[in-house]
Amino acid sequence: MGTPTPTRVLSGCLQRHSGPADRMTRREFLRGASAAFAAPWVVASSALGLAGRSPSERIAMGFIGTGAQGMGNLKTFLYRDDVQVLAVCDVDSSRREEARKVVEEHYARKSQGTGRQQCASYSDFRELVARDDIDAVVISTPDHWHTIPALEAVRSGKDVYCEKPLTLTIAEGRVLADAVRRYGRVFQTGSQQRSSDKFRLACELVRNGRIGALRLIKTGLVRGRATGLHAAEPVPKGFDYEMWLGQAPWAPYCKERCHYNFRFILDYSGGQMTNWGAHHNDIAQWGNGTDLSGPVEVEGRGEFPADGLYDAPIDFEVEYTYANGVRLLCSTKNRSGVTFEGSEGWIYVDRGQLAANPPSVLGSVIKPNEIRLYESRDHHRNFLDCVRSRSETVAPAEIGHRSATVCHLGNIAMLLRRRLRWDPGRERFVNDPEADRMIARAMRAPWRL
Amino acid sequence: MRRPRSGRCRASAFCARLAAALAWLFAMAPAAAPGEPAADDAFRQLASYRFGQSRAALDAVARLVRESHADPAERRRLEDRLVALLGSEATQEAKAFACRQLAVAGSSRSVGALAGLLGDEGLSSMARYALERIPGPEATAALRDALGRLSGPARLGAVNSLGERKDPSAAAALARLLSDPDKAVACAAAAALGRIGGSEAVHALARALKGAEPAVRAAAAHASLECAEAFLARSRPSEAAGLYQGLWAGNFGGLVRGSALRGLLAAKGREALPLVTEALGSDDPELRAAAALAARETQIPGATEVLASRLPSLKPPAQALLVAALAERGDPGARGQVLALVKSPAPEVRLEAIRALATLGDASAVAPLAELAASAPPAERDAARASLDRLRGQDVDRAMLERLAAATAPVKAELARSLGERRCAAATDALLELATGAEPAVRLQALKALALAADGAAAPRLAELLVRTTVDAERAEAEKALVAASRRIADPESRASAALAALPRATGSARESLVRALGAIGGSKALQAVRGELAGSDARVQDAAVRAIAEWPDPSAQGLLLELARGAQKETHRVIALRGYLRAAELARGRPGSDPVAMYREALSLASRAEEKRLALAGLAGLADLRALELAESALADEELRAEAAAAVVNIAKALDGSHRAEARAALERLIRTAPEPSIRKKAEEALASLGAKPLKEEPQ
Repeated sequence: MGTPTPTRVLSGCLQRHSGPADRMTRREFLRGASAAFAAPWVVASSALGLAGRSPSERIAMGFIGTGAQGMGNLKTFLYRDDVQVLAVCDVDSSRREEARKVVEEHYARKSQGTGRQQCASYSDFRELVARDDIDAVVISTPDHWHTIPALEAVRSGKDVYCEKPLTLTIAEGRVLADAVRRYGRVFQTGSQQRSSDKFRLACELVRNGRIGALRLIKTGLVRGRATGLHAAEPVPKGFDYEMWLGQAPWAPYCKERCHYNFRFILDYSGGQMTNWGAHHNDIAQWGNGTDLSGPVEVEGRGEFPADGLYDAPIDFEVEYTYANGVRLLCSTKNRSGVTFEGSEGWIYVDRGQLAANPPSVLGSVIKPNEIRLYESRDHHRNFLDCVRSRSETVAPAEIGHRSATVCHLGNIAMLLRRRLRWDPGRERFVNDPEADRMIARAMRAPWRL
Repeated sequence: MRRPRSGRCRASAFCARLAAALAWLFAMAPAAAPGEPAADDAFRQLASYRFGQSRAALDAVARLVRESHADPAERRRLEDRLVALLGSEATQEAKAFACRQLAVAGSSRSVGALAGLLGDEGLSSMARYALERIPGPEATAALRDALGRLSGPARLGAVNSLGERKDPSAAAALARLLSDPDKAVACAAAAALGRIGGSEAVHALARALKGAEPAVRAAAAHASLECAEAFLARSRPSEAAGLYQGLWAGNFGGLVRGSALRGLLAAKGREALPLVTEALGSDDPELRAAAALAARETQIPGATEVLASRLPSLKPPAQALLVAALAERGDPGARGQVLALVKSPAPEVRLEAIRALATLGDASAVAPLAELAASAPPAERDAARASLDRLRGQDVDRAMLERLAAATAPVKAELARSLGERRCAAATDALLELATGAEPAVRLQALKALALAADGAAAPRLAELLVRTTVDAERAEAEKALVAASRRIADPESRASAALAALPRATGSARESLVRALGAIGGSKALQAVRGELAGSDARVQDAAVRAIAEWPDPSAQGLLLELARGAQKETHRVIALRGYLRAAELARGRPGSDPVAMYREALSLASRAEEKRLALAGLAGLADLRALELAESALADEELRAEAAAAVVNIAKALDGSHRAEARAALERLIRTAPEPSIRKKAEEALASLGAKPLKEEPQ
């Protein structure tokens, strides 16, 4: 049997029940000069309910951001039989077209030459999100382009898989997590360590007291980088640089600013603190049982590049204190991964290793009446399963936001160079209006939360 | 910010004006940090800053601003300097930088200057960058008052910033924009009103919901949902309920209505529960999903029973959704109805019900789950097994044990499997009994379970089982169970007792198996016993003994391994022993009193085959030891080993970078000079370049 066309996929599984008031067609969206400044969330296509769809029906997906990470996500989803990729989007035409080619060739092979499966490609994510035949989107853009397309997708009734770190600012995360809850969307943050047996077991052992009372968590992150001064360069053909900049303050193009390098510039990212902290600090929060909350104090020191284009810290050491007395030491000098230290031993976990002292801790088994954490063994599969069942994923938006917040707090403490007190309930600093001002950033028009 | 003008300070007259305009700023500044320009110099350099130039002056000013945190007078002086810079002939980049500083440190004193930039195409967004975060009514007023004179992106940005400031004094001005001819502005105004909330915003949005064109009406609906949430958060449920009711009853799509439905339940409580149960039966999948989500979230006492009672009357897709929601809710009040659905004719419902029992089930779920695990199709069988293994409650294990007596063989096997997975040590006797029962499949499963659950006290009976059984597969499982149970004994020297006691009674395959088990258990008595088996007459047992010693769990067998590597009669045994010795060297690493380099040297001298020499070199490669470096270099002359020896030299040299850099460098230089293979030279050159500075690479995420 050949690959079904998108039309068939849709007619087989989706019923659209959007009323006239919260629905706008793609054509309407694109019409007129005001489209250039269209508010991101007035476009309300509804990827209505996978609720009750049978397992044989496919989930129609669109991919926003098709760089290295985006292509990895695309291929991971593309080769699954219950997925139909309908569209890809990137502001870099070469990456976008490469992604389109990968999708079309896959479906051509799958249909054994009986038909070619078209994959649409866009440079503006709003066009992709405006399609009412797409159920879920995968966002693998630079960090400053996570929240806005995720919000637009959520407000259009789509489910979202979004890369980590989930946000650029704490304020973004609050708005996004609220919107995901408001519209009942399925959301997976791309912190895939949550779907690893090693990390889950480490956290379960800690949560069940196998190393006694937890006292200290150490996370070891990758160092940042410095670079020189870079003069403005002509924008490469096929690269929509203005769109790439998006919400960030305007700056001239140079190659060292874009693609992989964005993560070393604070206008677009939180540096390695958020890049790797979104993994290891996320696990620290999980093991500490504070993944829906956060620390109450933070203090940090960072070594920032002396000059040049990059301005995120290269080396850093940040100390957090939680209300339960547990301290989290996050540093580029710590051993890579996460070390939990308790009154009776320690557990170390990284992607390649799980170790403990005493070693017998690792032989310990979590029994049915003990604390069992969410079990997912495949991050992408978990998302697809939840899209069908409408259940919560292993790394929902609220958790992605809280983990990113830990990292943002570290950056803010490093930038202000003083101890800060944080109220994780109100998500505000305690008696520190200056620090509060760093919770959000104003965006270039037309972008907003 | 638009692209900066390409010209620089082109004329001296311009520079003079610039200097005069800023001169008064450069006074009374604190001392600079080492390597940074002094304050006056920093401000002077800042004024002419362009993209691509050194950021030193910017960093210096940023530091001054940061350090003035606790000094209000100094903070005011710096703010005034930054404000003056905004009104000067400084570059656009410098003014943008000033806006960044004022975003954190600015006050009402900055508002006027920033407001003046709102209409500047290149600086409008940076002016908002500061104004959006400066506290106080002045910044709101500035943004609000600018609405009338701004256009295009600047106007849209001002609307967005007013929304972010959440200042109700902007509501009236924003309300007027809901009917703006520019649809993007009208939608932005609706969004901003949603952020601000409150009565004035709600009334304006209500008008838009009735009369606005579709896109604005949609934006107003989303904004109204946000306002309703704010009412709920401020404990004003009746106002929230009013908004939700309007959206629920209005002509909106499932996304908005579904959200309103959940809001109604949160605002009105039990009174809204019938709406949820009704929506569960809706033809609109979005509404069904929203109702199921509401079922998962609601805190209303008794809601579980009400919702679960709806299950029998729903169609299968909605049943599956509701069962999943009730499972996440985790309230056992739904147990009865969910349990009944494991026999549903609809496969998707059966599957969800089986999964749900993992959290909702108790001892009463043991029998149906065990039956399904024994006889259902694969997906349901796997789900039943997972749920059986996760059932909570103190009486679940007892129920499983009681069930064993009357169960059929396939169900017994499933119960045994699950008791093992549940690590139920109390099941040890029952499992041992099953392991000697009549049904082969049950015996095998019971032995597998014993490996997971049995404690040390069961070791003698497991050893006996191992000796008595005549079935190879069961002996293999008994061996695993014996090893696992023995390892659970706290005293290391007592662990092998059961296996040692059984050894005199064992012959043939059983003895072979016990020798393997002793090797896996370890300990000095076990080693002595296994050594004794080397002199036995049974070649298979002898072979098992050599392999057991080679796989010994700690380095204590190294002496015996060396003896065997030198003097075993069979060449196979000599090779196995040598490989075991190399393994022991790896295990010895980092242990007090051990010398793995000496062990690798010994192994290299004993090895006659290239394979073992390569293994020795691979082991050496991980050691930061000058002797290891020397040993690896000496192997370079052997053409057959050169690739491994070179790799070892490179790795050891890198590991020695911190302690013996000169020696490491010299070894790499020798390698570069002498190695005939370009690939080896290249590796050595790269390593040499990396000494003292870690190379950068793209890390995976």
